[in-house]
Amino acid sequence: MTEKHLSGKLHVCGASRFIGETHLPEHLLHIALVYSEYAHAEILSIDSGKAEVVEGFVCCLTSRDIPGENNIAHGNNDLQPLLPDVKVEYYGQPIGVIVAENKLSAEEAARNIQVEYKELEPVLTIEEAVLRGHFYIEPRKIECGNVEKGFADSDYSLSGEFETGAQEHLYLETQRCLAVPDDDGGVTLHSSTQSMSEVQTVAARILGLPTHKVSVDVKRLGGAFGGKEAQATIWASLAALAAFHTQKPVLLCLNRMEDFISTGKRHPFKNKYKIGFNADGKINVYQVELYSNGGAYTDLSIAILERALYHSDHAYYIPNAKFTGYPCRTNLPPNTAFRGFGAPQGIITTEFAIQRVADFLGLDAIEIRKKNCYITGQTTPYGMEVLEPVGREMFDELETLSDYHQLRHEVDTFNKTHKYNKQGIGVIPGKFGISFTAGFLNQGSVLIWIYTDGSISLSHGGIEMGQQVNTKIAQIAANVLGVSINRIRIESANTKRVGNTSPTAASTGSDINGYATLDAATRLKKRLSNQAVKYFLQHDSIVTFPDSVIFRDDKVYSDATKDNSCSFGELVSFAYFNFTDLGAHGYYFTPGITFDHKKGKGKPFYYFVFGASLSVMEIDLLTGEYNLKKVVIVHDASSPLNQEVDSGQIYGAFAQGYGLCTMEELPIDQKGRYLAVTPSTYKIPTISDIPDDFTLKQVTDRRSQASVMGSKAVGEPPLIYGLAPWLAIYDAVRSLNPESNQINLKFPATPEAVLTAVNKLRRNNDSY
Amino acid sequence: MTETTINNEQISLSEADLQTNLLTFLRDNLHLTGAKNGCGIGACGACTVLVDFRPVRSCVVKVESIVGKQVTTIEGLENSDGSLSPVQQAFVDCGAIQCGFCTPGMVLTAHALLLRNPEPTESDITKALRGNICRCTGYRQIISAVQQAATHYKKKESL
Repeated sequence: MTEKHLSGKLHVCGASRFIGETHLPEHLLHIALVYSEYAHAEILSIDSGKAEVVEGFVCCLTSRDIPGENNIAHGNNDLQPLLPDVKVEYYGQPIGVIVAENKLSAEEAARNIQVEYKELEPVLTIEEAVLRGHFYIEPRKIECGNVEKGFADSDYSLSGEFETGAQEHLYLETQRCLAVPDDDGGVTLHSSTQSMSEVQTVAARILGLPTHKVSVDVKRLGGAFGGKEAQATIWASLAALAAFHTQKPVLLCLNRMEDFISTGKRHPFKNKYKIGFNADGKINVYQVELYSNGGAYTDLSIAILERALYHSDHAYYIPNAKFTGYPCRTNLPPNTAFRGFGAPQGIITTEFAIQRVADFLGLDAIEIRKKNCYITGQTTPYGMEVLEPVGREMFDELETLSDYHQLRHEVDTFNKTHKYNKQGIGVIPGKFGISFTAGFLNQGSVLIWIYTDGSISLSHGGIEMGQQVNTKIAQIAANVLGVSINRIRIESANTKRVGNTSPTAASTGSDINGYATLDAATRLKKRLSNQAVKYFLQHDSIVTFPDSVIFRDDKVYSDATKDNSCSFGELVSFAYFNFTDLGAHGYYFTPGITFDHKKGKGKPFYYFVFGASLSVMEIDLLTGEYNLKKVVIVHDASSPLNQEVDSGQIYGAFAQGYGLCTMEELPIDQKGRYLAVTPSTYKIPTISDIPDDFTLKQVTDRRSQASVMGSKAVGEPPLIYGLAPWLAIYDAVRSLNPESNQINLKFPATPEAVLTAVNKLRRNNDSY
Repeated sequence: MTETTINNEQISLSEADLQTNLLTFLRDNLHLTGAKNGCGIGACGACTVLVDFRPVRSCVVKVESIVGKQVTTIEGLENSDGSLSPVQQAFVDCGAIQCGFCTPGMVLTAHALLLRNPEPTESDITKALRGNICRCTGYRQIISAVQQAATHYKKKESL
């Protein structure tokens, strides 16, 4: 199927509407926020006197104005105030809501709010948090085999530390919410959220209302990448609070700088590893301690740490393993979900350890990786059997596509003949577990109505944020009912039509909502098939059976001979007049997902997505700058619902991974303030960072371990391919002195970091 | 009275209009919401409109800068019969759209490139579009879309 983006035409005409772009209600009020000026402080007083005199000022809301429970925490692990009353825990934390008749007045009034603080010492880094024992939970552990024996039996071992940096989501549409009061005391929220039921539940909790008094509607998001999963809730709740108090519609729309300053990022990690291996490159044992910087509130930190642990084996069978994870509490904005959800931070540490093994043994890193890839019959350290492991197959294809040995030769030759530029190759496999690790979230539902003219309305629990879950869902329904996709309208996601939804996250949007669509569409097809039997008997005196009826090309055929048919619309109308329910609810849950955290064992994933990728980087030894020269990706797609859409996901995820490991850097100052707060100081990949020489192969052999209609999830797995450029830079730096074990390349490898690594190596290496 | 032309329509501007930010004017006064506010400092390209067929960051200029000029916003790019223009069609055909937030600015910048250079190399394309950031697509399909659209601009020129 090659259906195009359902909203593609609207987008290219600028006709698609994002929140705040519909014809806004009259008497719309605007919000500006008062933010904490300290990372850690007591609030002594908030004085709104000078704000109240600003023309257009309506009200100033603080924690005292919250009618319900002042808690927006995700889950039951923590308390996170919507507006803190006594203590601020991060720089940029909202402490007051200014409502005014226009945005400029709101902003002016917000500037006039006077807050007195008593500054407290902030904890900003993982090291400080560890020293003070600031952990969210007891360490999480996964163990298998016998680690001590593993090291004793190994010919060699290597150990070290690996740190990864934060990453800003930089969705192009900033966080926003339009809140409209309802006549019964409830409120309708148009929120830019990936998690509408969480927004609904939390806003109701804040307002002290039953959940049904808050409804959430989401048409589309201008990108999210995890940044609007738990972190849209605070903005929606603030807007809800303002609408509740003023009984007028209210718009809250962050500007880019506010969004940068106040929202959480990808978790920085600091990991300590030790790896034991034999002379032939076989890994015997891998031990790693993962420390994540969770920021000021739990948010999704625990689930993120768990995913990092579950991916610390990455694509490799490790008979003896011990993975331990510590989520640290600091005074930064609460770090949160970001495509990959902890997996990249665990994976790059393992891959770096394996790279060092290869370098130590003088073997090609691709050989070590292939040798240790999972094969049939092996289980992960957490006790899940890896079914259909196709890692080696992916590597074989990668070697063929890239002409790997020739490429290696060319790069080596380049390095011998160039003094100031060096090239390197980075190779990384993919093995990404699909399912929410919080097992209960693996459920989806939809609501389909077929109207009497044969047009179809479909509401599902997934949020459209560019990944085209809508296109895929429409394809599935169209396929079952044998109709063209144009007949189906995918409605905005709305808690009134689909309740208790899981966030659109963990790459599962199409899987769980797609299966639920299959369920509902199949129910409708059954009812229509029964009616078709009657229809063909009455109209054509043909005897047929429900199972023989065929739905295809917007027509309904009595049977495979296709002698008798009617239009889909005609059958629907007939069915209606013969008392048929033309609405159906569909439901699905992913079977068999369990995990015992005490034992560190279970089956947290339904299946894995495999792949392999290669990047070639060229670095400039004089400036530290680099160029991505070539990318090859082999991706295990199984039977894709929409190959073009999946290509877009792979290209996009690669670019985000590439940014993460190279140019995207978020330094903080001693006060806990991010220093890069606009796209002019925070660099993400642009079109000129992507090489011409880019090969993507989706392997479309249908797997038995897959999801709806044989497809596999695609949102997060390909982000890992984007980490290959870091390994390629490492390889290029290492070419200066292959014997050195003193290569200190930071992650992200900014040009500055590359230059530092090069200069350090040059100092230690006079022959250069 | 001061005038400008927006999407082939003459618009009269008041003194107050002239001092207004162009993006705000387009979105709030004219309800042309295709140009997006992505960063507000001219660093992302989502607010791009064409002024005399050249891309301009509407979030960092005032309305006075368009007096007597021809402005094209994304809403004015369709063919006169309402069908999609070649760049728009190519973006749809090549899967070059995901969330759609950067799309209007990207499409207009590509259109401006093809007007002045109907046979761009891949490097011409990336040079022209590198000020327009997209967080979704990874850009490969955008490059293909501009290449596909170029064939139409070439044809047009040879006529």
